[in-house]
Amino acid sequence: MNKQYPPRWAQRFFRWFCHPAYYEDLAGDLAELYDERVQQDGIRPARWKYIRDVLLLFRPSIIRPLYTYSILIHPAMFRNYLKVSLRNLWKYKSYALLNIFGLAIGIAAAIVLFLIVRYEQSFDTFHAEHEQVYRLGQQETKEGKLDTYDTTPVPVVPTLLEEIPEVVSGTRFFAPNNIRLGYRDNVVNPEVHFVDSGFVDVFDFETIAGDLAFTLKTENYIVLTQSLTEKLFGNIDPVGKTLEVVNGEQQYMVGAVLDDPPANSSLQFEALLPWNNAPDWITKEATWYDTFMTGYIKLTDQTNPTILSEKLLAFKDRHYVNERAANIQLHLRPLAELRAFDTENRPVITLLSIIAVITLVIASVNFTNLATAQSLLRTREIGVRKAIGSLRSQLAAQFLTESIVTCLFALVIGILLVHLVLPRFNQHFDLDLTFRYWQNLPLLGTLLAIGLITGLLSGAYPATFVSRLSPVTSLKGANKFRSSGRLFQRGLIVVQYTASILLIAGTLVIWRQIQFMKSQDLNFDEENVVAFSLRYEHYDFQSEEQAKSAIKTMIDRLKNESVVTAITFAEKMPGRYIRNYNSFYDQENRDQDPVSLRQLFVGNQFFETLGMDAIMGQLPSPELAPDSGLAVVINETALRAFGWYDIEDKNLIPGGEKTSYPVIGVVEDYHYQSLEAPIQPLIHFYYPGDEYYYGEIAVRLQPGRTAEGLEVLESAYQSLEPFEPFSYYFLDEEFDKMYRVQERLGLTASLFAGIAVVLASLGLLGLAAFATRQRRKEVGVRKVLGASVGQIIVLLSRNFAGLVIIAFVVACPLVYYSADRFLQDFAYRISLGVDIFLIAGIIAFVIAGISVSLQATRAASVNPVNSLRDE
Amino acid sequence: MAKVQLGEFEEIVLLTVAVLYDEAYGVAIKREIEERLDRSVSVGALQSALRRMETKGFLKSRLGEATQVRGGKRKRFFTVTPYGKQALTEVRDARLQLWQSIPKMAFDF
Repeated sequence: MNKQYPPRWAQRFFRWFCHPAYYEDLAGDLAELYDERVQQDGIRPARWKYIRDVLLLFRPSIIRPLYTYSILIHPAMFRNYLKVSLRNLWKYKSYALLNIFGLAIGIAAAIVLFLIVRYEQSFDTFHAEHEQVYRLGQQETKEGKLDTYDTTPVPVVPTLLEEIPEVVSGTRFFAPNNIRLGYRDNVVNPEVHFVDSGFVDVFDFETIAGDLAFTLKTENYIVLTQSLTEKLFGNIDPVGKTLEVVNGEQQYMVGAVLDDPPANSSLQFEALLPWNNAPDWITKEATWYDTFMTGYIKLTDQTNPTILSEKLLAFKDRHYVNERAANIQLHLRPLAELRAFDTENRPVITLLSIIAVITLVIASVNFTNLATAQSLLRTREIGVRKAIGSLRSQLAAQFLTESIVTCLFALVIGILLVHLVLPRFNQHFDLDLTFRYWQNLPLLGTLLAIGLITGLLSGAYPATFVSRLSPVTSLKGANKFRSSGRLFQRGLIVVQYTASILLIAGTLVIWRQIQFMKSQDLNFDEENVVAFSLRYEHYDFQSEEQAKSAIKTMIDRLKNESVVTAITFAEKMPGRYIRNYNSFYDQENRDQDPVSLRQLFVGNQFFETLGMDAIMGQLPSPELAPDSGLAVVINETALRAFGWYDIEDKNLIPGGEKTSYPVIGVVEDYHYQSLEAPIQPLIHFYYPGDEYYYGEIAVRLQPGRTAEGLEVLESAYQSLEPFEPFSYYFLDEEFDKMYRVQERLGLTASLFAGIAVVLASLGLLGLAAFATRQRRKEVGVRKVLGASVGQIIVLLSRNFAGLVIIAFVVACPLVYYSADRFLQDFAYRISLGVDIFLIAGIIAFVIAGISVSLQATRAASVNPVNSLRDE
Repeated sequence: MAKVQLGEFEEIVLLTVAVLYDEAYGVAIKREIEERLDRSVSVGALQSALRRMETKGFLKSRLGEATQVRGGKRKRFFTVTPYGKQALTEVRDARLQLWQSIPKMAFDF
């Protein structure tokens, strides 16, 4: 007899698909034919023919039918499965709670984080053709460094429209200081912008009433937003009504009403005025040097970027004065990227996405771990089922369906949790997130997939390993499992703790950095200084003279108060500085590249009030006024930027002007902006006698008499007949407020890191409980033989401690890398000390220790009689 | 042929089963057809025809005794049922009737 058999795979395949009732005789036929062919044709052809026959038998009348195979569908069996799983959940209530709520919380957290990320990314994408719209900016190369500003000189937009055909429309945006508008008794102080008529083509803000295009072309017309209209007119139809400028002669006719800009719009405004209503100094006198406003352009949809950038280069060379042209480039920023640039939210978004993924991973891992552990408690049930006649595949199907159903249940609870938590979350973080199913179909699909995968994973272990147990061993209650299952569980624990340590350390780094920035010396005395606005538009002044004399009276009054130690003025106080810069030339070296300086107009006693001293030259005062009238004080960085060592006979000329200004002093670098960025070169202009024009007044109060000082200030303020209630700020608090973005990030990160850590320790808790339960008898025997409680706790906890240590080792490089990346964004940053790693490691270790030793203590303190007697 | 649906291949298989009488199992039927009609028959086609006709009720089957050959697998022997015989007769009668109705000249070449 030839020992050569037909191909095994073909036999198996046939066995798999063949109808069980036909299998025996058909297999016999095939075997007989094979033997015969081996005799006749030899082995090879016989094997080929065997394969051919098997394949040809693969036809509907031979293939096993699906329905008789699946006993799951059988209602009685299904009811039984359901009953058994519910009983199981009920029997191990704490497990079930841990399991389901753990996953639900993880899912809810991930959804909320995803909503935040999506909200941030949805900015400015509601304009239909936003992909063709760009904000104009300038890039300036300075000492090899590239500086980007998103402001543009006044004439650029209209000139581009004339000269470059790719630019189809465009608009400028300029916000005048303040325009107070009145209709009868209602007075408002809206955020007004002058815009070009191109606004209509570039943006898609919704028009509610009137003709937007016409209004923006016509002088003395105005566009209002819905909420402003309600404030001014109530329920009256606003179109055609006339608004008066308070304390001015101007009148504007309402030509159109727009819906309020949505919250996810970078452009926020309450009213729009046509460009030809802007004052002459903008419309007629502005030059290519006046870079204080923003501009938006829209390109054709067939624009070739290379050709366009060449054209922009040529454009710049045509219009910019020589020396500037070499260094400056026009820069286009897509509308959808405005938010990322303006708020620098990119690291935040990345971080939140990472946290979301980690939380989800931890939650799924947890679920898998606990379900795996719990399935091992059901060996008796499996034994009984097998003894009665269950197939292994049926048991596997039972486990899989059970875990998938539990997972989907957790998914539903997670979604409900989102609805419960979102309003509170919105309130706390001042957000407006909504969770609508139809908007989030991809997210829901992903979550469903994750739920299914988690269900499959968590059912996979019992389905493959536990269902394999022979009825005898499982009924005897012996728990002999392959080590692969435990290795899997331990691997999962390491993953969880690595993620937890990463999150703990990340949170620590964020908070430390915020604290560091807050506690950093600002190089001026920021304490006890109160400031408020002195802009004329805020008060009911009839004329400039009247304003000046009213302010003068108020200041004289303040000076006599003992609680006030010093008074000064500035355009903007440190901490509220807004971008405003110009290029300046060194008068001696006119050929040298100009230096871009931030500008600040300051009043009398500015430096003295803020506790600064000149490190070179002098501080300005009315007695020291130079002939030109305008004195200049620069900071150290500016001194270095010009390459000067002293300021003797140094004069500065602003770009586009002829007059030069003598530099009379240099002050130490002080922080006037957030500590995220390094201190920029700064120039202070001082013009004696004109100080009441400057936007803000700052008053230094006697320490410890703040309340009294504020009362004095308020009554002084009221004497100016203001429109608005007294609103003031402390300079030191203003600096603290700058870090709100980081603080919010820190808070969010802490919150979710907390959730992740809690989830991870819940998982550990469950596993520890399971492990100790398995070793109950061992513990009993050890106790009988004289082991102490402490020894047993150490015995039971040792394994888990090792896992956390491995996780710590894995986490360290990850922490280092990500923290380093995060800190790169800050000009003034903490150094990454060893202590951060240690603290994170110790916290993780302690949490793990608590959850494990709780279980261990319980197991160790059980009377051995109880654990040993059922033998 | 209004009542019974019987394909050409099915008819041959059914007749062969009848020819083999007590020895009609898969391989034997296949061999018989191949020898008598000089055409090759695939196991798949044959088996699917057999099962189909069994469900239709033309055939019935029983399992034989296990033997040492063919891997210890039993044979399934098929026999024609009375209903199967009726089907065969009907098919034959229909043919016959047609043959008899052919006018002589038609085949007069």
